[in-house]
Amino acid sequence: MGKHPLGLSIRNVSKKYANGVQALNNVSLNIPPGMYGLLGPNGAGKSTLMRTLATLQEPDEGQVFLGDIDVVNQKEEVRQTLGYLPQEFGVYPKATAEDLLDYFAVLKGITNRAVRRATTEALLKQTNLWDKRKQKLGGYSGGMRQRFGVAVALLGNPQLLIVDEPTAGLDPAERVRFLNLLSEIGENSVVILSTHIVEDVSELCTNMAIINQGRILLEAQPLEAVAALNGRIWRKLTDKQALPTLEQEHHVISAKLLSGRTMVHVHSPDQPGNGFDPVEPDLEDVYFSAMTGCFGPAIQQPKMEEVAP
Amino acid sequence: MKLQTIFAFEFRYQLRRATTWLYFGALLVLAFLIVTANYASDARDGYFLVNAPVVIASVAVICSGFWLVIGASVAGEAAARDVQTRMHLLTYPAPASKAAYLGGRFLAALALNSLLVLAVPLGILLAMYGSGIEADLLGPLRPAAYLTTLGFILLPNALFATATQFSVATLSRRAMGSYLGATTLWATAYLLGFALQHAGEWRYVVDPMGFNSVMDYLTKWGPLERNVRLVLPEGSLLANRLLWLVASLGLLAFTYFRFRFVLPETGSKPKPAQQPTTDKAALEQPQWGTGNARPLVKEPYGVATQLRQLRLITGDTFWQLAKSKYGLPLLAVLAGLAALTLRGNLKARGVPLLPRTDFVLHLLTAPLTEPKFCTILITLLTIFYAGELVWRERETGLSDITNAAPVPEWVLFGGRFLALAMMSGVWLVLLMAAGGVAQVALGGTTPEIGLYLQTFFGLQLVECVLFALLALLVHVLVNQKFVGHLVTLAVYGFMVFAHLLGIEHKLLVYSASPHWTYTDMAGFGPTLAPWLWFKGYWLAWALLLAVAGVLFWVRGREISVASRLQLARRRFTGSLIRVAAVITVAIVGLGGFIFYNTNVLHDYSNASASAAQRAVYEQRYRRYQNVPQPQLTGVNLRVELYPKQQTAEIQGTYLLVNNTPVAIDSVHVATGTDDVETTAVAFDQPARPVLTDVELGHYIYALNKPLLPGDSLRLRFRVTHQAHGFSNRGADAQVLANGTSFRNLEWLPVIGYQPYRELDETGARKAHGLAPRPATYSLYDVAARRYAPFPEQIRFEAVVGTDAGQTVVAPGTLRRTWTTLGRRYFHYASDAPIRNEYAFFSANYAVQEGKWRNPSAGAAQEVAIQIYYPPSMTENPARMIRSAQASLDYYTRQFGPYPHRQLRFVAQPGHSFGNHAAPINITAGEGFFLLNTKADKRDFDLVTAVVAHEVAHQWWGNQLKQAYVEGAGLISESLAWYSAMGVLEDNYGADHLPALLSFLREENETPRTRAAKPLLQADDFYQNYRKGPFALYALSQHIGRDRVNGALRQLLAKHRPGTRPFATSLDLYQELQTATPDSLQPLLHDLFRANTFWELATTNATAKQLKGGAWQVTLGLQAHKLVVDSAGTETKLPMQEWVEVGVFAPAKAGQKTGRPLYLQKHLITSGQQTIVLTVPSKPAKAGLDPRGLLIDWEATDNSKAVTAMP
Repeated sequence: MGKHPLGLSIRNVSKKYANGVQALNNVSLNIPPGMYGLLGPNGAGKSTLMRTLATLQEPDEGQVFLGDIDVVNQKEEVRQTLGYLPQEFGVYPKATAEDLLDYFAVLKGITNRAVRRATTEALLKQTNLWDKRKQKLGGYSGGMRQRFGVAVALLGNPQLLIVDEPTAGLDPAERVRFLNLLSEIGENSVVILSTHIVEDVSELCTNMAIINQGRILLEAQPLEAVAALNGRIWRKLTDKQALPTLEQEHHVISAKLLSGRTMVHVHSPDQPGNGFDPVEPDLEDVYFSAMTGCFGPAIQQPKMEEVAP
Repeated sequence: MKLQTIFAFEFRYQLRRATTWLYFGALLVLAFLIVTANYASDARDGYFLVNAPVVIASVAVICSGFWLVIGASVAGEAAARDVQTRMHLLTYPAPASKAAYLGGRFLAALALNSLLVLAVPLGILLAMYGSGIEADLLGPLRPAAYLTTLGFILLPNALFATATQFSVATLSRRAMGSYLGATTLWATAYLLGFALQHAGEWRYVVDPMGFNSVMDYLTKWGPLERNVRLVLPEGSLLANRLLWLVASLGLLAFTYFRFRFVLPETGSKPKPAQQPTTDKAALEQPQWGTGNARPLVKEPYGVATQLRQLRLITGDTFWQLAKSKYGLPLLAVLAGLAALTLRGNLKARGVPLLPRTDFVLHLLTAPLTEPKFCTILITLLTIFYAGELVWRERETGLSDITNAAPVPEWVLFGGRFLALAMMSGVWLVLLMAAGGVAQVALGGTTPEIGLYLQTFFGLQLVECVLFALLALLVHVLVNQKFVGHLVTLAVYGFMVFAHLLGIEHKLLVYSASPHWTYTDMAGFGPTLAPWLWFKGYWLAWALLLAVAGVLFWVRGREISVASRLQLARRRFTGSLIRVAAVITVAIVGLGGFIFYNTNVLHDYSNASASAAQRAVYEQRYRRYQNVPQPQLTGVNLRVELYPKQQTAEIQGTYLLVNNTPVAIDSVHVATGTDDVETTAVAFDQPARPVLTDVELGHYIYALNKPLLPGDSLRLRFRVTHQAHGFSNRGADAQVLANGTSFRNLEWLPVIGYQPYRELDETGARKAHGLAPRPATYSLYDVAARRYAPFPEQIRFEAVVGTDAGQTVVAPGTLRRTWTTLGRRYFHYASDAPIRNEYAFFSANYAVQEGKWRNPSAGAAQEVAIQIYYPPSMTENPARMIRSAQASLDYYTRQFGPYPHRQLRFVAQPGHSFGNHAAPINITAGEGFFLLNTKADKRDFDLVTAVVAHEVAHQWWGNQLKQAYVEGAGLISESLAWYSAMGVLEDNYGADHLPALLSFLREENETPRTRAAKPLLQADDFYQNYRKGPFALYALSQHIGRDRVNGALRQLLAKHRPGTRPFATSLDLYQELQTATPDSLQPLLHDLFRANTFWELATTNATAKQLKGGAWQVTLGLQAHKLVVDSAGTETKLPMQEWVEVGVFAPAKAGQKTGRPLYLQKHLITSGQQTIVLTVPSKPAKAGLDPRGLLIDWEATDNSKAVTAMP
């Protein structure tokens, strides 16, 4: 495959649902080949964006290009090079993995029987389902089903692979294996991984974006973003009762329980005051900084402050 | 408390769904339409008041059937929504008791369904008072009628159905289960009721919807009852309601005990044990496969790939569908059932038919728009399958993956369509096998595989495919599974009932086309071509539907109307536009060609237009009814038939004589009505046309010189029939390549105004502003008695030419036959005058000949009996000849001479079994030759009996002409059956007559109202063909057959052929009165002049042996007599008459009744009485009127087994 990997470019995409929810608000992203993480809380608009990229939804406005293919208007061309693992999917419980994968291979355009057999065999082996290929899908565990989904997504060697919240239902070991598989694929294609788990992105992705309430809060390379926070994150172990006061005085980006007390992270260019220790920032701090408006496009900051209590 | 909350939540939840209200609306509209489209017209014809309680109840039971499907959705939702939405994970562990959970849900479903059925009375009320039904069709508004319907029919039905549906859905944990419940109930109510037609009261009891009871009330109740009687739970209906109440409660209790709050997966069957090991296996292998596994394959995407995708997807989809429970297994069961029902359906009047392939096909195939039992099944299944195919991937949650795959929409739609079409194909294969197996099992014929393939896969499959596409498209467009089912059902209903809504043109009703027919004798004839044109047109439409299906195929999450429209616009590009354009051109082209045929080449008129035409005919020309006209006395025809060209040319000359006492100055000519052109009408003396009404076929010619009494004139004319193209009803099927037949009644001119062309139905007459009159003129309408259609006696002569290989049959002696220029000619002439009704036949016939010689006359009196039958159908001709000989013998002795030298039965192609007796030549339907009387379990030879009946019409109907008023059928049909009884009695041994009597008596078991006019005013099938013959037979058993026959001979002598006045039943009655002794005059009166019923019963029968070996029998007898008028009012009358009392010896093996030991008439009076009599040997059975001479519909209690006393 001498084809040069294609980049994905999303320009000013907006989508509003009939019930009034603004799922995407003027989203623009440039996604180069390789692993790309789309990080955001539940309901941020990740799945809407993913489905739009997967040709299943239409944006109200804006354009999406995969190389020079117009994703909105040239769906058929996109689909020929698309692999999609939805956040939720079902299977025919009475079908075997082998049969259903074969069926999807046909849908993906692999109609030559020998080629199809070779492809499905390779994929079943790759996803470690080969031994279970004759088993009915109804008896699969969550992890096995997810792997089966990957096998389906990988059919036809996609140039664009969209995986929507793939690790949500996996146990830690499964998750690690799954991410390894993805990273391998990311060498040749555009792989977009949407997730609300920061580790997924930090472990895998060379590029990322943070999305909330339909807006892109930050588009960056994880390492650079972490570097940019260097010296700006401070922590303090405090009591639950002290939290409201702290929140009024500082930019608290996160507060989590630690051995019954509360560990507060604060964003501040300078030493915020008594009892605060500097922290080596990680991607989680980037995420929470972005979510609380301390990090990202400057224009958003005042707005976030208005909202903040 | 919890129950209340659960109930309230469920009730509100479903009440807020749009579908619930859609169902309500659908039911309301349905009730409205049933009243306005169906019952209103019955009411206009005077059958009942449209708001009679029984009408309201019957609308309710019909709607109940439709509601079953709707109610299933409600009950299924309530029962299984939690499991299906996986919310049961939350609800099951909640601390609600089983009773509260199930009770709340069930009661909510019941409340919702009860609410839904309220749409029925609402729809009825709306129809009664909001659709412009005339006030005189309505009785007073009676709340009781609605309340009883609601309380005893609709609400109980809602309870029974909801209980069943809820239980099945709860226990199967699938909403679909409730549909299974609904289908079972539906089948029990509507199909089982149909199947149990002869099982007496049982069919009323087992039917959960009360359908059979109420629908039978509608026919069984007299007019008075029909209008006022409330439908209350009495008798079998009460038993029915109670049985189903108990059954419903039992089912609910069963459900309560069986249901457990456990997850469906772990509920009953354990999971496969491999589950844990799989995870272990995964753990053991820390790495998923790596690297090398990315298959580097890429096929070029193109049409070739897409076609391969289509093939593979079709196969896959088909197998998934076929493998499911509702797939092949269900179809196989249904085909098996079809095979089983074939035996019962391959019968004519209870006589088994030789199962010839064409007749089997006739039962197994039907167009979509005129469904039969087995085609309805596959249609309903297609709707269900289409829903599954459209929804399966989305319901499984696979659709996001599928939709993101590089498959074009046309492949996704097309694959499903082809899979659905293949299911239809499989159904046809199974049905074909069923038909073939049934044929072999019944024996006597061999299945014609080629014909099966041709009709099933050439013709019937097209119907299936058309519907499959429609069902798919509706599901795609509606995009809501159950609403989709409902809409598809509605569309299907529209297709079937479009003609009731006045939409009759087959270009307007999807898939409609004229029928094809196939019979062994005529083949497909000209029926195939129009069928093909119409189906081609509809296939083009179907392709356009397919394009729409592709455009609107839901792919992804965009389901709002606006975005789907936008998407469709975007998809409508390039090749699709070209395809759509080609299809549109095809539709316009084919439609245009069809329209040219139906509306330009033929005169298109729908039912209401032709009714209007009849009305105009009456309004314009009835005034000429009594204008003196010359009488037709001679007919001379030159007929050229061109069977292959479907053309006939007739040149005719009529000899008209002025038999009136006045001079006639103008002649009214009514031309043929059936696709013929009448031209070159001319007289042999100067005359000029004064009126030419081509459309209504009425012409008036003024004679320059009036025709004086006794003078004659000749009328010449030319009639051509040329089948060109086809009409909306199909191709003309009178002149056929093989099996041509046509009659003078439809084709040739007649003289004068023709009352038989008037509009008869009361409602239609009123709608067209015609004076009200009964559909049949009253016996006491003296003016009406002056008319009978085609009564003239004519001398007939005709030369008929046809193709060299065919035989022509026409009335009279075949004088000569010759061949010129590859055509064969036949010269027929009558030796004696015939009544002016005749037909011409031309076909490839085999002939069976016989002779009958009048023993009391010379050799010149010999009559040739000829059966012109389709070659290969050799079963019945010999039997027919024998019966004809016996009949001629008996009738000439009893009633007078047969005036002709021939008697023929001529086969006419078609699926009919009927016969029609014109003078000399009797038309016999092709099916008549297939009657297999040897296989009749009743030991009854219907063929012999019917032939005797038809031959009798050569006297009754063709010699004795009856006036066109009430009682006409008594003279033609009753006398014909009565005469046939004599033939069997004298010539066929002791068993034949009782067999015929019992065959005729079978009709008594059909429920019908006792309300009727007296027999003298007979005007329906039962009176004409059953009650009349029995009355005559009973009389003959009282006063002697010779006396009755003598009276008939007198009647015939007083009404010689061609003379007036025409005979009426009053004339018959007068002759019978003369022949009856005074003592039996009351009986004669009771039989003919009043609608009398006897209720006779033997209450006990004992016997003890006397010294000397004789037995003394003591009988307790009960007797009543009542008269029922035509409104249904019953009046008890005192009884004082001579009735037979019989005592019978034990029956020998194989016999029903033993030899009579005693058969004497006793004077019986009303009420209980005892008779003691002595018989020579041991009696087994005894009774009152054991031979059923008097009219008693409860004949089973007439006789009783005799108990021997010590």
